[in-house]
Amino acid sequence: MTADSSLSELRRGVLGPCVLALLEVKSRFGLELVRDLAAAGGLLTSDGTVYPLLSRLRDAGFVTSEWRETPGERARRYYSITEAGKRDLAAFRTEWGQFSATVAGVLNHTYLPSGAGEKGRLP
Amino acid sequence: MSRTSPGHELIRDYIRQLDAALRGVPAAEARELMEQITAHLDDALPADADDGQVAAVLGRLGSPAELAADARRAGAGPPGALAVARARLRYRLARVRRRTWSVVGVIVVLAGIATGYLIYFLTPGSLEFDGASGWWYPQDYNRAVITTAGGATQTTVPLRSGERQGYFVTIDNPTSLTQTILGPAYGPGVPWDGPGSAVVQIAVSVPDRDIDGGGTSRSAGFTLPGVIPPGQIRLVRVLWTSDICSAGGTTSIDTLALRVRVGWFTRIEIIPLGQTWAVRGDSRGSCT
Repeated sequence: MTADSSLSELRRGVLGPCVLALLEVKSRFGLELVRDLAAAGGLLTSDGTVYPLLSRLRDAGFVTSEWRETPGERARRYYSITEAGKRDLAAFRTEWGQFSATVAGVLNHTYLPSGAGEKGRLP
Repeated sequence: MSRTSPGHELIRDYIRQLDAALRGVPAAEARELMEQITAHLDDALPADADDGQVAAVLGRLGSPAELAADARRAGAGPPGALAVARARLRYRLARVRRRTWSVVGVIVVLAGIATGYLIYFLTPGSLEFDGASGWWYPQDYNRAVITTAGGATQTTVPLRSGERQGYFVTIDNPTSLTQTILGPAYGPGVPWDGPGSAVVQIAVSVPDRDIDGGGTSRSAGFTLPGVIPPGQIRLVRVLWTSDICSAGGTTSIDTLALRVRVGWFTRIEIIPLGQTWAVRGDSRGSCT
């Protein structure tokens, strides 16, 4: 497994919660979401990835969509987070905090299994 | 307000390739993705976008093949509430103990047996008139007048007001279950009142060699309830007191309505008698 493919898998895994986090702030249409995710940097392997993901989140009940029309512009499909989506996001935040700390600890050798104890153990 | 997308050659090519790549993806998902991509291109490109701008946007979008692959992964539905619910259901089913499954199995088997029992006893077939019959009392059968019209036969006797009258018929049990006659059946839809009082007396012969052989011996004993084992014949006696209100008219009946028990279940059987039994004349009964 190369670093490239590892990161690609990782991006794919965290993209859903990141989309939910953006929608938690406000409803967005497709390109708006893509631009905001792209602006965050390093989250998107390609812009198109977001669309199948949105469908999947909607099928899971985490996101709803509705058409909105603004005068002078074409109608756009806006995506919003649901209560189930908020709960899922909250759970992910908790898990992610622990998980990322563990990964960082292992990658930076600040965490070692007990007994190996060269640099001790993270609290 | 659609602008750039459909008109540009590069975009038309891209959409064509995406359409081809989406073969095998469920139609609704493919349609939705096409709509999302078209909207994305509409929003991302100005109306007068040149080839360079279009190529850049398409490049960032990812190849049609990659998009289709993502759509297939989404269709396979990994996380999501539904997948979570499925996983939970699988987990719970896996935790159900073998003993619980055994209990469920026993319940299902018992329910099946009970259903079979119900069907078996509630649909055994009916008792049948076996062909032999006659008026019960000599003063009736000696004066019976038999008439036939249009293929139907009627036997008529004078009404003997205030006295007992009645007839007998042979009844066959052609089914494979014992049937027990409990008495006459009354109620809505039951064509029974008898040519006499509303209350009739039913009795069934006890086992008798003559009757079993097709005879109509009246010396046999009678009882009620009367059991008719599978394939056997019994004489059924129907008697009443003729104290009805009648002013020279005719009262008749051509069916025998009985309450019959089969197994644990009691049902009503209405047996066609093959002819009409009738009494005619005046009665001294009160007409209220």
